[in-house]
Amino acid sequence: MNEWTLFVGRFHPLLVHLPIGFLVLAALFEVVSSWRQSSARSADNGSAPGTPWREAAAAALVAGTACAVAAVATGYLLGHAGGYGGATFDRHQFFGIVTAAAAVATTLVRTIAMLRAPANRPQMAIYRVCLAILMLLVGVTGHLGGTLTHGEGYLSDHAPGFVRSALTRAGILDASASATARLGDQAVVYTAVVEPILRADCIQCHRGEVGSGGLTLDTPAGIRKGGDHGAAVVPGRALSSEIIRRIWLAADDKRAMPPRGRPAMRPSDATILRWWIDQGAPFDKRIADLDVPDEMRPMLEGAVGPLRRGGPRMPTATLGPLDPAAVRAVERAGLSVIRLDDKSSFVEVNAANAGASFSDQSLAALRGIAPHVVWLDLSGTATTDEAAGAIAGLSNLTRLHLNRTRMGDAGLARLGSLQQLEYLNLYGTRVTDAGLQHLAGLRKLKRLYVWQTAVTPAGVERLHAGLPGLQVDTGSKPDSAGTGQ
Amino acid sequence: MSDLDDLKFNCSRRHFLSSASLGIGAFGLASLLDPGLVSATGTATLPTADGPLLSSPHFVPRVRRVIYLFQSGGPSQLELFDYKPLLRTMNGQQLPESVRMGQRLTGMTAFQRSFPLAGAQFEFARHGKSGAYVSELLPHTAKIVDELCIVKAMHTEAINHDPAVTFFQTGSQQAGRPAIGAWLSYGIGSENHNLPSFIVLLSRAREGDQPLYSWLWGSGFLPSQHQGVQFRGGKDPVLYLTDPDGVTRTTRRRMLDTLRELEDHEHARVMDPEINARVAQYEMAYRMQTAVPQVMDLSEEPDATFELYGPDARKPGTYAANCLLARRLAERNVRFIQLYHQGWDQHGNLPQDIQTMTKSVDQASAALVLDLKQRGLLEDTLVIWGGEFGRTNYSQGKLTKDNYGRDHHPRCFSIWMAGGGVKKGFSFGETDDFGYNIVRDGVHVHDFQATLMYLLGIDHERLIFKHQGRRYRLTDVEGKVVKDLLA
Repeated sequence: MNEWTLFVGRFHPLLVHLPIGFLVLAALFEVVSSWRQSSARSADNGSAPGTPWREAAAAALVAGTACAVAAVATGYLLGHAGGYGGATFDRHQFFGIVTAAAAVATTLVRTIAMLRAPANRPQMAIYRVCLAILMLLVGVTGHLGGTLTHGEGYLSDHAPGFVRSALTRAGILDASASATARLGDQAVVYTAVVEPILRADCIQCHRGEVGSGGLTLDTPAGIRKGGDHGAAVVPGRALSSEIIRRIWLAADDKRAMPPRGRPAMRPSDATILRWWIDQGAPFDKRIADLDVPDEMRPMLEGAVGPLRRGGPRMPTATLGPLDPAAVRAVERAGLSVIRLDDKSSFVEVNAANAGASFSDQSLAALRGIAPHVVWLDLSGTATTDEAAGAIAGLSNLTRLHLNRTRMGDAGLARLGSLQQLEYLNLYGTRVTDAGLQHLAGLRKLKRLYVWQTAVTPAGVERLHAGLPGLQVDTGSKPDSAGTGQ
Repeated sequence: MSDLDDLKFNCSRRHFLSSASLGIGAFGLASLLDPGLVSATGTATLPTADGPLLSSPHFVPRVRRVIYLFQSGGPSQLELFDYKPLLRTMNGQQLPESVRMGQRLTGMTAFQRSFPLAGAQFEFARHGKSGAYVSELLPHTAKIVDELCIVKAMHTEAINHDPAVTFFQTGSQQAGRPAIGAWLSYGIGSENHNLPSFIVLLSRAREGDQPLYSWLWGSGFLPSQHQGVQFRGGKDPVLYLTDPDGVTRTTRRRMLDTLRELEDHEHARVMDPEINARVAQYEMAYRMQTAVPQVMDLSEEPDATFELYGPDARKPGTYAANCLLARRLAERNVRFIQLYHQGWDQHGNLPQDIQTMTKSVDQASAALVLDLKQRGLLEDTLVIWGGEFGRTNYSQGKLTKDNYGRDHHPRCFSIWMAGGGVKKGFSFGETDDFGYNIVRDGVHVHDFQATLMYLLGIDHERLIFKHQGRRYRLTDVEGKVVKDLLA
C-alpha cells in the first residue's frame, strides 16, 4: 500500500502544472469573451460574439478544477509518504487545498450563473471575483511548491539589486538573512552558522529553564554549562564533546541525537559543528579569524556566501553598487577607476594616464565614489598638499601611493581620517620628520616608505614609539636626485 | 536578408566580445582605444561599471604587475640553489638505477655508456634569517634570500629548450597559443594606456646559445594587439617608432585621423575585428612616440642606481640594463614585463660558463628586488627568476677533475619568486639526495601558471577563449594554485 502511495504521489509534480495551465486559460478566455461582448455591445449589433470564448472558458475551468482536485490528492500522498515537512510544506498544503476548493466553488458559481438568464449580471460579477481570487491562489500555491522543490530564494537570488532592495523593504525578503548570506569571512561563526544549525535540530527540546537532559543550547551560557551528562561542548576537542558523540551515533541508538522519529542532522551541519568546536567553540570570532580548511569552505559558503581567499585586506564595510555617473565623472578628470574583484564594489583609482592634465582639483570628483576607493595611486603626479582634503574623504582607503609627488607635511597633517590605511608610500616627497608625526594616529598603518625624503632615523624612531608594529623603509642609500618625475 | 547583412550578423555574433568591449569593457581593446577616442572625438571615456567577462579581476589582486626574469637555456639548480653534498662524496660514481628507475633521458645523453655523478664544484652556505642555501656563484642573491620564495621542486614535461620555454610561456609545448602576457593583456588589460601592457626585453651573456622565437610573446588566437612588444637596446628601442625627418607630430596626427576614417569605413563594411586591432596599434604607437623615449631615458637616473645594478646597467641591451628598464616600466604600471636572458645551456664546460652567466645576472637581479622594495613597489609586483628546466646530476661527456657538463633535466629544478602575495624567506619542495627526483611538494608548470594568474586576481579556470570550437585557457585542463606559496 505504502508503495502505491508514493508511486501515485510522485505524479504530483506532473499533475500540478495542469490546473495552473487550465485555470489561467479559463481566466484568459473569460477576459477575451467579455472584451468581445463589450465591443460588440458598443457596435450594437445584438448578437453574442463572445459565446465560443465563454464555452471554451467553461471547458477550461472544469478541466482545471478536476486537475486541481487530482493534484491535491496526489500531493497529499506525496507529502505524507515522501518525508516532507516544515513551514513551507504546511503552507503549500494549506494553499493547495484552498485553491482546489476555490476552483470547485468557482465552477459551482459559474454553473448557477449560467442556469439563470444569460449574462445574469450580479452572479457573473461574483463569478469573476471568484476567478480573480483563484488566480491569486494558483500563484501563491505554485510559488510555495516551487520553493519546496528549488529552495528558498530561487527566484530572488539573482534578481537585480533594485528588485532585491524593493523586496527587502516590502518585507518579502529577509533583510538579516540576505545580509548574512553576503557577509562572507566577516560573518560571526556562532550567530551566522552554528546557531541556525542548533535552532533547526536541537533547540526544540534543549531550551528554556531546564532543557532536555539538563542541557540548553539556545544561549552561549547554556552551551558552555553543559548538561546532566557533562560538558556538551569541550572547546578545541570535538571528539570529546558529548554533542558530537550523540550526533554521530547510529540512528537506532537510544542515545542518538536528534532522537528517533526526528530527521537526522545533515552531515554538513554536523561537520560544521565539529569544526567549530575544534576551533575552540568561540562565540564572537568571525570566520576570517579562524582556520578554514579547504573542505570546510563549501559548507560555510553555503551559509554565509563566498569566502575570500587571503590576499589584501579589504575594509569590512558593505557597500551598494558603484554609481556609473560618479565613476564617469572621475574618469573625465583623467583618473582610471578599476574594480578590484567581481564581488565587491571596491575600486583602485590611479593617475597613470592623467598626464599633464592632472592637478589637485582632479581629485574633487572622487567625492562621488569616496567609500569605494580602497587603493589610490597618485605616484609621479603633480599632487600637492592641497590634495589632502580630497584624499582625507576616502575613509576606506587601505593603500595610498603618493611617491614622487609634491606632498609635504601640511598635507600629511590632514590625513588623520584615513583610519583603514595600511600602506603609505611617501618616497621622493617633501615630507620631513615633523610631518611624519601626524601619522601616529593611523592605528592600522603597517608599512611606510620614506626613501629620498628629509625624514631622519630620529623621526622614524619617534613615529615607532606611537606605532610599534609599523615597518618603515628608508631605502638603501639616501640621495637627493629624484627619478622619473 | 541580403548576403551582406548576413555577414554582418554572423560577424557581430562571432566577435561579440571584441565589439561589445568597446562599449562595456575596461580591458582589452577598449582600454587601448579609449584614450584615442577621447582625444579624437571628445566623447565618452572608459566605462568601468559592471561589464561581463573580466571587467574586474575575479579576486582582489595581490600584485598588479609581473617582472619575469626568464633564464633561457636551463640554469643548473645543482650549482645555484639545490645543495646536494652527496653528489660530491659520490663524485664520479655511477648514477644508481634505484634513483633513475629507468626513466627516460634526453637524446643528448641517452646513449652514453656511463653516467658519472658530478658534484657541484662551488661552495654553498646558508644565508639570511631563513637560512636558505645559496651557492657562492650568487653572492648578491644570497644577500636577499629573506625576500625570496624559492621553489625547489619545479618540474616540467618538456625535455628540449624550445618546447620547454613554449610550455612555460603558453601552457603548451607546441607553438601557437597565447603567451602569459597576452592572456593578461586580454583578460585584465593595461593600467597605462601609453605603453603596451606586455613588453619583452632580450639579452644574452654568451654567444651561440639556444635561440628564442617571437611566438614566445605572441598573442596566438587572441586579438593581435595583445602580443608582446619587444624593446631593443640602443638608439631605436622600438623599431620604426620615430617619425621620419620632416614628419611633424601634427602631420602624423592628421594622417592617423584620416587613416582611422578609412578603417572605420572598412570596418563598417566587413566587420573584421582585426581592423580595430590595427587601429588600436596605430594609436598605441602614436602614444608610444612620447612615452617610450621618456621611459628609456636613463640620464635622469642617479649614479647610485648604477652602483646598485652594476656597471653593465649603463650598456643598453645587457641584462642589467634590462633589469633597470624593467623597474622603470613597472613604475609606469606596465602589466607584464618579460625579460629573456640567454646562455644557460651548459652541456659542457659548465664550471667555466656558468660563472659567465651568474656574473651577468646576479647583481642586477638582486638589485631589482632591492630597488622595487625601497620604492614600495615590491608589495604589488611579482618578480620571477627561473629557466625552462633543470640539469642532470650526472655529467654529460667526460667528468674530469675540474670540468663536466650537465644535460637537460625536467624532473626537478629551482626557481625563485619575490614580491607581493608570496611568502618571504621561504623554500618550498624538496628533491632527493641525488637531486634527481622530487621527494615532496612538486610544482608543475601549470601549477606555477595557475598561481601566477591567481596572484594577479585571476581564476585560471575562468579566463577562457573559444577558438576553433574549443575553449582554451593558459593552463589547458590542468593546474592548481599552490596555496603553500601564498603569503
